[in-house]
Amino acid sequence: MADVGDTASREEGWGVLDGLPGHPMMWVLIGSELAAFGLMLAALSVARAVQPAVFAAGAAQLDARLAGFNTLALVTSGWFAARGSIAARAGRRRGARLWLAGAIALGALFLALKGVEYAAETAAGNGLETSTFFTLYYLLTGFHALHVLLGMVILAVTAWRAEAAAVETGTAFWHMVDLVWLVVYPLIYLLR
Amino acid sequence: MDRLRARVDLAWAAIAALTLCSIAVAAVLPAGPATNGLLLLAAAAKGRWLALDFLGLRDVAGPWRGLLGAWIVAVVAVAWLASLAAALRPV
Repeated sequence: MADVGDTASREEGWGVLDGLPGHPMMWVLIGSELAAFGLMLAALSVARAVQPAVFAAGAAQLDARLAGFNTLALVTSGWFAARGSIAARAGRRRGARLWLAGAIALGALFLALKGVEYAAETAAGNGLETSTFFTLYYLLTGFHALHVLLGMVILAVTAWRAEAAAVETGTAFWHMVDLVWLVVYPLIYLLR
Repeated sequence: MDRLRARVDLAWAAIAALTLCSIAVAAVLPAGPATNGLLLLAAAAKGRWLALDFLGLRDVAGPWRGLLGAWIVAVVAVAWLASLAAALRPV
């Protein structure tokens, strides 16, 4: 979260990474994560082109509305995290902790609903080896869910002291996880 | 800070509204590359909004915004081309 006249929390001496919100090493991680997710999403798209009927049948069995509600939960969590970062930089540590606690709670809701979704799919007989669609569905959404879990831990650690630089770094990871889901959602649940 | 807060709040409202629109579009419009294009366009717009205002790239050097924007465009473009290829495949 950049702001005019507030560069106290920015690391310097990292060359081209100077000026990015949060610690530059977090951006190295974000870059590698986006590369990994990008390749997985490209693989999903290519598989869809090769087996359109399998993907249409698989996607039709998913609950797009539940996943849509989950998308709203994660987006709102990202909003809370962004407001938490603003509060931390304004020196309002208690406010920052409250915003971040809200973000973590919504992350937990996302994971809980993901668990409900997985339970429904496995009960319907849709497992990891049911079809190419479901293999990629479980791999991609499961890998993403692990990142949500890791993001919740990072947010909790940064909320402890609620220092501006740490909160900005933690929320940058959280927003990356949010960004990836915004693309995963239509690719898996909505495209026909 | 007020300006930042307003941007973040607006971004959340826009992303949430586009998510609801996407659910409606997928439920109402017929399946195919045109509908998929709309859904992917909405995803790209949401991603761009998130990158600029949640992630805070609006005020950093242009190439960083370009890089992240290129990632979003590449992912949705590949997805749309793949859906087009699927639609054009002989049955």
